[in-house]
Amino acid sequence: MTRTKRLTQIAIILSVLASSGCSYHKVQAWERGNLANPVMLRDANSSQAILEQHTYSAKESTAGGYSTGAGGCGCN
Amino acid sequence: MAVTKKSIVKTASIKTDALKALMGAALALPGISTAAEQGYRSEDIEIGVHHSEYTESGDRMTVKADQLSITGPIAQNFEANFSATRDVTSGASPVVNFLDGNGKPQQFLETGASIKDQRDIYEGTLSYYGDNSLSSIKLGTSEEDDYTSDYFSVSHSIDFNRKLSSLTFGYGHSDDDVWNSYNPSVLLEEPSIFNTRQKDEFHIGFGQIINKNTTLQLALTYVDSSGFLSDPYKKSFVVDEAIFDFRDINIDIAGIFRFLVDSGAIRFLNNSGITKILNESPLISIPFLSENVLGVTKDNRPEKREQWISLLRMSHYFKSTNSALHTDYRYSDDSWGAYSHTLEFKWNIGLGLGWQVSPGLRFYSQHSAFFYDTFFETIPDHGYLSSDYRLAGFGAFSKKLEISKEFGRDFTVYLHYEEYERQYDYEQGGQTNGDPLDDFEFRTFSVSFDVRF
Repeated sequence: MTRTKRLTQIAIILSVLASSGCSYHKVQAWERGNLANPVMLRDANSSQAILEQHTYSAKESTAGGYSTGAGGCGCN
Repeated sequence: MAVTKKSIVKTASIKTDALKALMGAALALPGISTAAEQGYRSEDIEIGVHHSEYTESGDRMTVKADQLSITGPIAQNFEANFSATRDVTSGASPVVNFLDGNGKPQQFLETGASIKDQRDIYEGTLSYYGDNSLSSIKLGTSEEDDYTSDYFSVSHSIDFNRKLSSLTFGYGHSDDDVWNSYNPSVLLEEPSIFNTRQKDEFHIGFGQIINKNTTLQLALTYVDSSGFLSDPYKKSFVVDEAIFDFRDINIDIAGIFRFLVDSGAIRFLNNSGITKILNESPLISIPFLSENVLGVTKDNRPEKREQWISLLRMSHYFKSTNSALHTDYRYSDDSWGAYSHTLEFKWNIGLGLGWQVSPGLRFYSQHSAFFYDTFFETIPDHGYLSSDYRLAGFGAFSKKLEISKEFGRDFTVYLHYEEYERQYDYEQGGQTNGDPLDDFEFRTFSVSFDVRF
């Protein structure tokens, strides 16, 4: 990876963090109700999420990075 | 202030819910069991049924997939998940790009045979829930007519910092066998060659509760693939390998093959047995002739590939709309030069009475591999070449919609729809090797049921 690419990558990550408007503070137990809301679970339908990643891996060259442990396929 | 038993129970419940959310956020990654994704051990047995249909534009491929998944608690701290998946693929896929009369590459699909492939996948996962940790081991196998894969993975997650932070370590390994399902009755097919490939993956993830509405995850993955990484069905057109430079003598090879397919001539050769006689004759080698007369050369990729992937995932809750915006940015780079950016948004909106609507957008941009081109004037000095459309430079844009309805706590239905559009000129950061001839679209529709009892 070139230095430029690495810097671009870091810049994008920092931009996302900066633009999120969030600030870190120690969230107490009684403040965590919103985090437990079902909408905060990104993929409640895990079968769909797995299938989606499999589809992308069959049609794109650079899949992966979400977890470990998927088998290969002879997809066309 | 006196602390009542009721308030202690309530606080503990909130804390447990928050842990679920944090662990859920940290682990809400495909490839692990449903219950583990929710971040806690359910005392229920859960059965999931999933059906999806995939349709590609241009009368290319269709895939129908079905999955059955069962998850249940074992003893005090264990949980087991088993899933069986079958997908059936039919249709045609690009094989080679021939040049037309103007010297422009034209995509050529199957040579008289359409794909009919079935893939069966069986996976089992055993998870252990510790006080502040979750450990899982998964074993899986996948079988196709021309491919088998045996794989396993282990992962371990711990939460710390008063359960505001989590750390996940994962390792996965797969051993694959790959060959082509040779049919001597089909023109331009070659005898089967059995090959192997291996893959090792190392994964580390960090999850953090930022504030009472926001969580953040960062994951880094290293993938090391080795062995036969070429595609046994794909070919490249190499001008120098052909007996003539057909452009000099104004022969439209793409047009000739298109005519042979459209007129039924290739089908006649295949169905009449002439192709089979030619393929089995010791006096003639069609693969040799196709390479040395037509310039149709085998896909040949490096036998090693290293990939580095970083994923940043942020989730933010909006109280005013009872919704959460999930934003993912993913960057992948590899030793083949095929680096990519993926940006994805998913907006989960809770509508009440168990209804949830989730529109989503995904954008993907990929640079071409260093050995990819639509066709080649000559075989490159490094010896590697591929015209597989998946190694080209391109971009893709997806629109998605998921609707779910929970009936009590026992039954949930999900409907999911996606439109995916691949375009050569969607690539960002400078156009690399590719061509609009590889542009296509697909649509997927799926329905899932989860039952808990």
